[in-house]
Amino acid sequence: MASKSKPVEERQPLSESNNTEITEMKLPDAKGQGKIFTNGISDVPELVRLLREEAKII
Amino acid sequence: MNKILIFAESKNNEFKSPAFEAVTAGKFIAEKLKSEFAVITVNNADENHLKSLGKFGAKDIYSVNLDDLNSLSGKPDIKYSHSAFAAVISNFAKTKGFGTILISATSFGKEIAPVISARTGFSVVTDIVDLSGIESKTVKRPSYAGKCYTQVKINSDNFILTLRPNVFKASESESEPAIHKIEAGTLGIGAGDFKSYVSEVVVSSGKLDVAEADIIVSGGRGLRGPEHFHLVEELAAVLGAATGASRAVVDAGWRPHSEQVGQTGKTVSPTLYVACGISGAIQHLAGMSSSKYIVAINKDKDAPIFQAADYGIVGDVFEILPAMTQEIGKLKS
Repeated sequence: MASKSKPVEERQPLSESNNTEITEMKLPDAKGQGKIFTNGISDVPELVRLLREEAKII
Repeated sequence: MNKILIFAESKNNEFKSPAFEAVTAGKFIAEKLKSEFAVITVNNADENHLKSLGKFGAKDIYSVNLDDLNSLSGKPDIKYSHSAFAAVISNFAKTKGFGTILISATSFGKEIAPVISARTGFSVVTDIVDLSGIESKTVKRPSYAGKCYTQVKINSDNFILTLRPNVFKASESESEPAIHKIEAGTLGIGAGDFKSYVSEVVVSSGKLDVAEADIIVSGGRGLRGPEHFHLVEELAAVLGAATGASRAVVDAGWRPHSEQVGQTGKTVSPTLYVACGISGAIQHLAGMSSSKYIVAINKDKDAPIFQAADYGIVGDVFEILPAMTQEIGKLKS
């Protein structure tokens, strides 16, 4: 109860200039549907081929 | 326009890709703003290692010797101190008139950037992924764990930018750099600048750090137990990749926390991220969705990871992973 009776000091917020400001927020660009294979292990050679020839990362 | 100071981070006295990326980005900003740039390093690297920054366009490299800096602390067991690094960069920038500071948004950079901001009064924008608007002092950074992107306008003259690793590709631009040795004692550093320090570094493994890797193969609960992670490691070995893990398997004690990718682990942006037996919880996606290519392997065709994937196979990781390892191994040989 003591805390309720304690006076709360009110202060005005300091008026500081904003060093940075957010000018825009947007969602990431929509990603196109990926190439998802559903035949399990038999799709591995095709996946590896795409990584090598299309994405060029292997 | 402000001169630009780039802090080139090193590990064991060698510069890695985040340092080269920072130099490339600094050169890009200097060209856009028609300004000058220089690089500062704090380590015990020899001249050949320092000159490796010249391959990426660094012309002026200011080198502070780490042993000399540490000697100012008066501590015999000191390895390094973040606060002292921040003091070096802050004091050097202020005395030499640098108004823009670039730092990699690595664990180290994330720790020193706000300290430098507090010391210099420069504003700071962290984890930047796009500098194309720098001419109007506007930069882009992810917010809310990567769920959206924020354009931030910098209103102050002096500012610090931290750059997300693996986003700004290091591009070679040969130059013969001038190495300027800076005596740590001339920078106004005292024992009081060593607020805390690292006294011992224990390397948990000699493996490639997941945060620095260009290719990552990560495993999740779909691997059913730590005894099956060799499948992930074998694929990682043929790809020259680091191994990562989802929070679920780290929490289960299957893998060390140093490998955890996600909101409560490391944020990564590799060229290729292979998610094996990972469902793709939003917290995991937050840490890897900015990867250039994502490959998902999961037996559940409705797993959210397939929404984020560029390529994927619906199937059993216990069959797919050995087959991929073999297929890629054939290509490599």
